[in-house]
Amino acid sequence: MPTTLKREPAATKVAPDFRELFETQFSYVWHALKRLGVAERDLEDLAQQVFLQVHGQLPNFDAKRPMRPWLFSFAYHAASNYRALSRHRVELSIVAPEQACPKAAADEQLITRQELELAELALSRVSLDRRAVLLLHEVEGHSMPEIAESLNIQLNTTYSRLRLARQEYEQAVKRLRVQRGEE
Amino acid sequence: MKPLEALRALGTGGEAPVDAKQRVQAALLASIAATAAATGATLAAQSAAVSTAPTAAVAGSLAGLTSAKALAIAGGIWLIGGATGAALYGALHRQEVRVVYVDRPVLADSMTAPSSAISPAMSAPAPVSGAAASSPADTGATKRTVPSAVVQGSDLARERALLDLARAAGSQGEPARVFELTERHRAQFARGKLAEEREALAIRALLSLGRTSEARTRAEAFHLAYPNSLLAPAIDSALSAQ
Repeated sequence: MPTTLKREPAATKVAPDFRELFETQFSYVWHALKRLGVAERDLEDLAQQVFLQVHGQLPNFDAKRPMRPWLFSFAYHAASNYRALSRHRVELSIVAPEQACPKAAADEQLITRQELELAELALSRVSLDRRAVLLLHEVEGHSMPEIAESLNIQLNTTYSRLRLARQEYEQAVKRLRVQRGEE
Repeated sequence: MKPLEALRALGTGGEAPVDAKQRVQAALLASIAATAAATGATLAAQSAAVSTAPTAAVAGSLAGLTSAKALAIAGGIWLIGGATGAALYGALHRQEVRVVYVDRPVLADSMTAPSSAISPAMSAPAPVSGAAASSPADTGATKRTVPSAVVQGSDLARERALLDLARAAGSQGEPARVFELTERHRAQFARGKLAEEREALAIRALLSLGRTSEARTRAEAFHLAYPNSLLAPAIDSALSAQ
């Protein structure tokens, strides 16, 4: 035990502080899970599950890598497992757009709430694997190599998923607009 | 409006509900404390770092017990987890959360260390589950870096760290800070590997700050420098929204 304590400073030099990580990244993980199709009532459980895993893996985190795609990969796997349970599928298309609270100040004034709602809804129609790439790249602006590394997939696959995700998303937007009588 | 523009404007979402966050934090701390007790000293270092003496002391003292006893006591801890969690939360909540750019001495040391000085442990794979008392020691001793990649990786890591901070500032609605960080990146890594991303971040930050003409100039340079950039559509849509 004393040995462990003595080694602690060396360990903290490498691994990020878990408390700080929780404080600063909880909202991020929360929204990532939500956009990956986790129903509102299950968000707390899944968030806890994700952070428990993150806590366990934190000593293995490569500090050279960006934090969020790494966190996202935990949320992605949790959401994938969650989806495998068919009882959750019914609620997948239910989103709460009013809680989507974009901070992009420059765009905010010109993009209406309806359009943001539509974007959230269309996003929920994109298949999960592709949606993960779409979120990381289009919404969060991460580079494709970073995304490939975080999701542990080939770069070519990542590009392919992005291309297909954009198509699925745009088709979903079209369908939703037709449903709403906009076109 | 093009569909992808609205998607890009979504951002990473606002603040999660505070009460949900508190509940998850309390449950999480209780689970971690119970796990620490059950698995011995695995997380003792982390618990100590939390600087809440009772839990650290309990976890620490449990390290020497048999696993059966530890499990029994872990159950007890779980039961009083609510109280412990509340106490921990109280202790944690007062602390100001700050994102700090850390210039990692680990990499600097590794760069100067001759390969002969690297212990065989460095080539050992990092523990997958972290469920061993040696975990903190491993991370300290092995530094988890591949020697040959260190020299190349160091600058990239620093670049990423800066841009991560810039992104974080962006998600918190602080374009001035974003721009400041991208400028710092530009000063240090004018032709860095992540220059393309930096420029994209800087241009959007300038737009948010209302410095449209500067943003346009930078965007023109961006298109010349990276004609096939995947980030170009995002920049164009942000510019056209002005």
